[in-house]
Amino acid sequence: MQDSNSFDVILLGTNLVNSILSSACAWTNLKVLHIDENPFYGEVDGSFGLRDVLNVSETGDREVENLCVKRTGEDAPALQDIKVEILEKDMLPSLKGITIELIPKEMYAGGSLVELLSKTKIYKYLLLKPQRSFRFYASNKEWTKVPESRADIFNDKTLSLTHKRLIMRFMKYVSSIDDEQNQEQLKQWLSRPFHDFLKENFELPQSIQEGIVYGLCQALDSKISTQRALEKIKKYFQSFATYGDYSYLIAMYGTGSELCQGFCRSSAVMGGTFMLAQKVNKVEATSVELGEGKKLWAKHIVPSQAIKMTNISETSVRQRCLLVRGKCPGLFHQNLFLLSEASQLHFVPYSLGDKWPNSVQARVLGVGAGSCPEGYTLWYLQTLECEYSCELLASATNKLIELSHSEDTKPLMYADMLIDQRDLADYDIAVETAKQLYGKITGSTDSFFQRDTVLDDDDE
Amino acid sequence: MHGILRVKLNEEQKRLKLEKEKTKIQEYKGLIEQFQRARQLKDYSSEKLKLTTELLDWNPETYSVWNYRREIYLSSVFPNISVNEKQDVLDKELQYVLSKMKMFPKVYWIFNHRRWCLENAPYPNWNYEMMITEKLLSADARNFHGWHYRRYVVTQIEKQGNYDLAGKELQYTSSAIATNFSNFSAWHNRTKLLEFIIKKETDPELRRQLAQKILQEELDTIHQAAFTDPDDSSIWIYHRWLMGHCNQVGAPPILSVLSTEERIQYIAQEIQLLEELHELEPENKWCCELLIEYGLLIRILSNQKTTKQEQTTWVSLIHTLQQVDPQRQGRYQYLLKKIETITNA
Repeated sequence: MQDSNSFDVILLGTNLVNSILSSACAWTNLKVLHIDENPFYGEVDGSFGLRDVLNVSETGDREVENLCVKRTGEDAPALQDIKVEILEKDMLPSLKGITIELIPKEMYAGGSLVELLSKTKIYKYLLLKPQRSFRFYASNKEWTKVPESRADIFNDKTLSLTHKRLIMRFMKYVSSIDDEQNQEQLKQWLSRPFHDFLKENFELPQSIQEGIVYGLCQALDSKISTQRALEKIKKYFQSFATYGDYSYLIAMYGTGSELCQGFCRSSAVMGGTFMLAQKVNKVEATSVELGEGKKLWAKHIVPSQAIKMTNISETSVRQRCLLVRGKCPGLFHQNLFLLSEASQLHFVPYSLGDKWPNSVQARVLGVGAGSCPEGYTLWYLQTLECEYSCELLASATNKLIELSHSEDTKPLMYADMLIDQRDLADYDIAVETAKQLYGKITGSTDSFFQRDTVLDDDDE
Repeated sequence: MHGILRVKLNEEQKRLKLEKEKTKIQEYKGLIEQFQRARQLKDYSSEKLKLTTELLDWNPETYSVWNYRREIYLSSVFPNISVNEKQDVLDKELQYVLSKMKMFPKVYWIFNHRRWCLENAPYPNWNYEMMITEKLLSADARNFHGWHYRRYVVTQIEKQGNYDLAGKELQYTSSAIATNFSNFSAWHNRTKLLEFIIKKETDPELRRQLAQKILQEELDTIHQAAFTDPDDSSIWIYHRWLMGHCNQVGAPPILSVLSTEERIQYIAQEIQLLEELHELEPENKWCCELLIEYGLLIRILSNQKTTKQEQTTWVSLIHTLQQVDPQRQGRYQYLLKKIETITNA
């Protein structure tokens, strides 16, 4: 009996976890309804056009609109305190073509999300570009290359022969941490600081250690655990050289937003129904009441944030997104096409000042990433929120301006927001989470995105 | 083929696949028979070119078909056309070969045919060929066909212009090695280029200085590689060449300018470094083996007796080798005998 108000699964919020889940359920021929209260896809994984935040008032002044991002079905807004500050009013370009990501993230080239995109062919909905970790600002106040591969160690003239051997030994160890004997020895270290683990077990020169912890692991402070650090390093090296000399992939026009849209599109193609900008009044165990009073039923209701991660710190992260005039070639690896695409830079603790024990993680996107017009770049800086985080970000910004190698580099405006650290989890964790939830709904994870394929020699 | 997933087929799918393949096999056999008959009858008419194209599109590794194709060109196409027409025909042929090369970059016969085309062409474009080697090697820096072809093209360019590209080519190998030093072809190419560069210097004293400078620089690079990844075989093979410890007729030019004492000095320097590495990596088989080989080499060159202590060290190294590399027991037994022979001589 077809009941148009009854579904197998209702999902609230088109964030990445739920978009993947929506698609997985639709692929299994479940009747899926996906609702989002926001007028755009992605929730906190989404992006917004700069035009939606800055408006031109009657007097010709730029005005800042309130940007509201809701977690569907919940009362409090997801992102609060978005502060926009305009530095150079007259130099702002036409705001068309500038996409600001709420939480900029990248995909690991060897990670489970990229694997899933490949297997499901959802990558065809995306335009993928490489992103590389470029340099880190070390405690000796020098910009240093992040050690990404054996070739980097080989070519580094500042390392002694013995140091090269010790570093490579560490890299070899990381690639074999899943071996039984290593797992045994690791058990006692997993929750302890990675810093201590390195000191006890490996002799690495200071600069290499900093490059690994703040470059490869993107740590926000020195307290990163051994488990977390080793996972990230292992994934980093696994990913490097998968598709080319880089570990990360981004999607043009806002990675998170495009990923969510890609999976939602796949879900719709397989029969999922979508409702955007749809107000939700009440959510109960097996029903959802929409704004107009209509009630919809489902065996499973998936809230916007179904799995709350508990092992991550409560401290917020201050993120500053700057719109910068200038091509900033000094911030990117030079590539064949001389297109600035996407780069990462890192500041280690205390490198910018003796009073600042937190690191700053920076991502720089150029016109090649599709987020801004030619001649401009978007800089995203992240640091743990504390009393001096604004000072720290300002100092980091100045250092980046110095490094950018173009005389006309000038920040024109910035948007500050506070982010929950739990939302910083990388995209592969979203895939695992979606898979877990899928298992709860269908009883098993075996059929997650499995469809019978017939081998045909003429297939591409 | 690499990188293509094997998909499991069920019984029905397997049967369908076999059916499809049977018809294809019949077709192919038919074409081969046509070709064999035509060649037997010495039919070199230009219409038969189409037959060879069809066969080579199926399978570019049938070298007899390439041979037949060349025979057709030589017998019935080239004799009847002007020089410019010949260039046009060969240009088209080169395009065809290039399309095959893109799909099969490691087939000897494709490279042979390309060389034949260029050698028969009135106006071969060597710069274009150079660009092709660049593309080949950027797609796969370890494709020895690509490197071999590059040496061929470089030689042709040098002949034409009467100059040498050795310096530039050396830089090219340096950048290949900087990207990934597990590249046998790059190191091999380097040996050829360094020999040439040293031989080019005619003044004996300058040649000596040049050889020493080169030797030390190469050794420094190898040291960096050896400590980065001591398990990589290509660097040790190159090291043996630098030390003159490889199967070569006559001493390599890099060492022939040195006196025996100087040569012994270099070997001693390397042994010291190997001992350092051996301390860090006691199970590395290359270290163990080369410590013995170079030690023996010094004794032979200096015509001095081995000491008791050396002998003991070497024998214990042999035991380590037999443990960490049990598949080569025989080789290390042989090395043990060699130690005994030289010690007792």
